[in-house]
Amino acid sequence: MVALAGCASAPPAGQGDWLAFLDPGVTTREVVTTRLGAPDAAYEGGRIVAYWVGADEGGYHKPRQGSPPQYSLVLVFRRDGMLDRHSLVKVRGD
Amino acid sequence: MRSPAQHIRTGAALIAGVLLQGCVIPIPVPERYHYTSRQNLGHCVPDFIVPGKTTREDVLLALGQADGAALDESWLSYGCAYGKGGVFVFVYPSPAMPAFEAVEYRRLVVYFDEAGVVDRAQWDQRTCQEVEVVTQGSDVKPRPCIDLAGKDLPLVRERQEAKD
Repeated sequence: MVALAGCASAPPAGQGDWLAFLDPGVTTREVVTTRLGAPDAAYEGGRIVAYWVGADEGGYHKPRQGSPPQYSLVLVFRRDGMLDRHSLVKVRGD
Repeated sequence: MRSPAQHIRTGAALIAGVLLQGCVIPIPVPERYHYTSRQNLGHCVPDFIVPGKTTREDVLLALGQADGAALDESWLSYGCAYGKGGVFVFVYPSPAMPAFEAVEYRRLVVYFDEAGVVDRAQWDQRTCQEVEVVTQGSDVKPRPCIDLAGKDLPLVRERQEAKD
């Protein structure tokens, strides 16, 4: 019972504002790397990068080990390293 | 006098006993996406993908990180696996339990030209009957009938064109 209760009441890993810093034309690649770490995938020489994102009642978070992410965050940077476009794509989950 | 709950318990115990003596208990497997599968693919090439117009950037922004990519990014692959139902067979006292399931694999491969514009898009879809054997501490998974990451595709554009 104690173990079950502990499991059921695990605190949410999500932070509501985890991705709120993303602002096209303002956020730089360095800031993104500092906040989110190394990307999970990079395309076109790093102009486009992607991160897997988990989500729970607390908001977005880095996916837990062994837990499939619900979202894919795709970021497109300009040549000067500034964020140009971004998209948070729901890839699984209700 | 026995209560209805006692009758139910006795009946359940009898049924369980009969099934266990038979040594096989079938358990239905419901329809659902496989645990690690993406769920944002439809059943055909998405309308927004237009050869000669849509870019690699557009595809990534719409579908998210690809499940596979050519080394030179001349194609991106997106795939999903949807279990269409089946049966999991609990075999007593065998440690190995087979699961039989029909699995629908869907894969979208988008090919790009050297400028990163869509050249063509290919949709593959196949339903396969799979048998998975679950044993204590291990799980022997069948090989998917479509490789969702595109490992069967050419690694780079040059080899792909040479093959064509």
